[in-house]
Amino acid sequence: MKCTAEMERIRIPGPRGELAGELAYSASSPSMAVLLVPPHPHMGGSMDNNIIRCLAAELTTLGAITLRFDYAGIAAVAASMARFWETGDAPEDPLMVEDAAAARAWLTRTSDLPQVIIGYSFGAFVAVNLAARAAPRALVLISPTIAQHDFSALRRCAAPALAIYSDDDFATPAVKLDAWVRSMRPHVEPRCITSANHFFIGREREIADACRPFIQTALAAQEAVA
Amino acid sequence: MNNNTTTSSVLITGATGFIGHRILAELLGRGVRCAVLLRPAACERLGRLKPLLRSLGVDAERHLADGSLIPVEGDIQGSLPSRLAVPVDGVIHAAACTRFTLDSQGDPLATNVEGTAHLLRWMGEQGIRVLHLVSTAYVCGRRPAATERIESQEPGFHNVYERSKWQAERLAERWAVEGGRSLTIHRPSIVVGEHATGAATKFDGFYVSIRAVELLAKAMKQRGPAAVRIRGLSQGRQNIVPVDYVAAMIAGAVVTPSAHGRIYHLTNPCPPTSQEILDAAQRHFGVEGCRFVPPDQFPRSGLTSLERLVRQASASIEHYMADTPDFDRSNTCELEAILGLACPAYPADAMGRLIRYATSAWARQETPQRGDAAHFADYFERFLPRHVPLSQVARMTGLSLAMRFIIDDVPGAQWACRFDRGQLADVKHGPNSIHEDFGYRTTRQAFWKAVSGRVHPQELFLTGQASIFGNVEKAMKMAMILNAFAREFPFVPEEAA
Repeated sequence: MKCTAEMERIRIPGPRGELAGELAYSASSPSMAVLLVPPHPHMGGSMDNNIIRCLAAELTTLGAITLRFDYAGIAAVAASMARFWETGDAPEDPLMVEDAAAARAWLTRTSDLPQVIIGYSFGAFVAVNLAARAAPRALVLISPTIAQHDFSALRRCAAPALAIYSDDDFATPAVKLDAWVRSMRPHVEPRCITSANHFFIGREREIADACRPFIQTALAAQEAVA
Repeated sequence: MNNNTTTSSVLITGATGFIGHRILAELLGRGVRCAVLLRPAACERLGRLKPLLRSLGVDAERHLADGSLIPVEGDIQGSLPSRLAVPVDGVIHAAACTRFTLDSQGDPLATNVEGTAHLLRWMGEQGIRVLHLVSTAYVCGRRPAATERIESQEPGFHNVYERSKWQAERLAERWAVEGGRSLTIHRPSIVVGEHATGAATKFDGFYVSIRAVELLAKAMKQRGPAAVRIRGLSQGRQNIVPVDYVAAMIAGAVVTPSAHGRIYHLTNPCPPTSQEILDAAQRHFGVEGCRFVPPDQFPRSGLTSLERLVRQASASIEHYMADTPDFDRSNTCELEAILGLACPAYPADAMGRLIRYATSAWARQETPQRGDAAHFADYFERFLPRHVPLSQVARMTGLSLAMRFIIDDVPGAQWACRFDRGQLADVKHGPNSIHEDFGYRTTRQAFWKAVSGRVHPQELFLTGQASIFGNVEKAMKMAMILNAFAREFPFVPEEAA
């Protein structure tokens, strides 16, 4: 969909140096702020990832300011790559959680709006860690890497959560993901998009379509309580 | 949308395209003066257009000489002429990008939506009030039935291509309504080669499924025959229409004022079933054992390697094998009656012609091009063995795997590489005995971008410029390593950069 939102390239002060980021917002008054957390850089994760980019643009139609960002540099050195090759994680992983925390803090300082955090793949793991520190209004986890990372922090997070996943995701077998989602119910609302593997290439809008009603409902419910 | 406008001269965009050059040939044959919008350099593009017209029996030189064919340099995504040297009555907008996924340049949205918007603004400035828009029948998206109207409510789409064409129609509708102008929309379904001969210049859509069976046949030759499940509905229909029918209908509508101002589903009233197409492909390639399994019964896991091969090869069109809209053809039937045309059927022999033409065209492309083949051989058989031992890759002692590279648009460009504890243990050309853990398929251009370090291989995959077969996770991780190697030791062949 052609994005009619305004886009603004920014630099975010981070613990390991500045992070590159981009804000997107529509001309009308925003009603929420959305932080988009990208996948692992070793797996093509950046703010220009297909899903991150699509959500950044699409959610502005919901009245959101969206922030997507790049993690600070990850070493393309043999040791880091070798460990990632063998284990699926890199020595820099904890540092990337702090990068995301810096991006969140920047978004909070910039806009005093109800906050939503959306994380994709490794970004879902990062998002859960952020949410456990201070609950956002809503949390969306896309292709959460539950076979690779510990998502137990999700139980400490009070925010309503949506898990979007594909039934043929190489990163997490469907059976395992189904079991995890069931174990998290009613805390986590599941949404399965079939045959999209881990990457949802060409199907990014289906993710946006799944996010919209969930976010709207979550924010409306909390406003009603307030 | 107004009608009844005589058309004696037109501007055509996309004239070098699969449908565009046929529309051009039809109109020249009807005595219509045709200006063709050609991207810079126009003379080079004209050089591509001439043989296309010649193949249809049209002498481009004669038409250039008598002024009935006029090249106009311009780009719907860039600069358009401030003034046309020869005025035109209308525009036939056939230029489009048919990618199903977004690329890093923003296509297909950039061409289909922004390009159309730019063209419409230009037409307004030029005072051109008649537009024939070549769209697609699949602007109906996920609707089970499609009308010959512009629906005000956006349907769900299968891909960004469908969405982009729907958006282009909305732009054109607004242009027509606001200015009291004439808009005719032509919505072909899946366009395939000429009915009598199968001749085509583009092999996407329907041909993706034929390619998938060809790949399957080649794999079965190596690994032996097997039963293969294909996700789809055997009685689902693939609405294929021959390009000559589409071009004749569009050209006929252009020169028939009473046909203007309507929407036409240039679709097949009796399309072949997916099973009929599969049968024809299996017959052609000498394959047996494939059967359709409905999507709701197709297994989520446990696919054989052959089944994964077919699934990955046909992923981009999989929904078209399960999801067949019912196209209203009321307007089209009336136009057919006026023009004395009809969409032909596809019995087995007609299907066979399509497949034979396509496979012989692919085989002709597979005659090695000296320059390309030499560069690829250089890379795999000399550059890699020389530089891998010097690189970081060699320090990754946990790296033991086999991978395959297939360059789709370079005949015979296929290599398999085997790593043993970080060392490049073996490189073999062609289909060979190395059993790969995973592989990459891409084009020569994308491959050279990757090995020169200009583009990350993961980005090529995520933007649809490359596909992965086999173990996707390992392939994506390996792409990280390949990128690091390419940045450490970039390879830039002289001609392929």
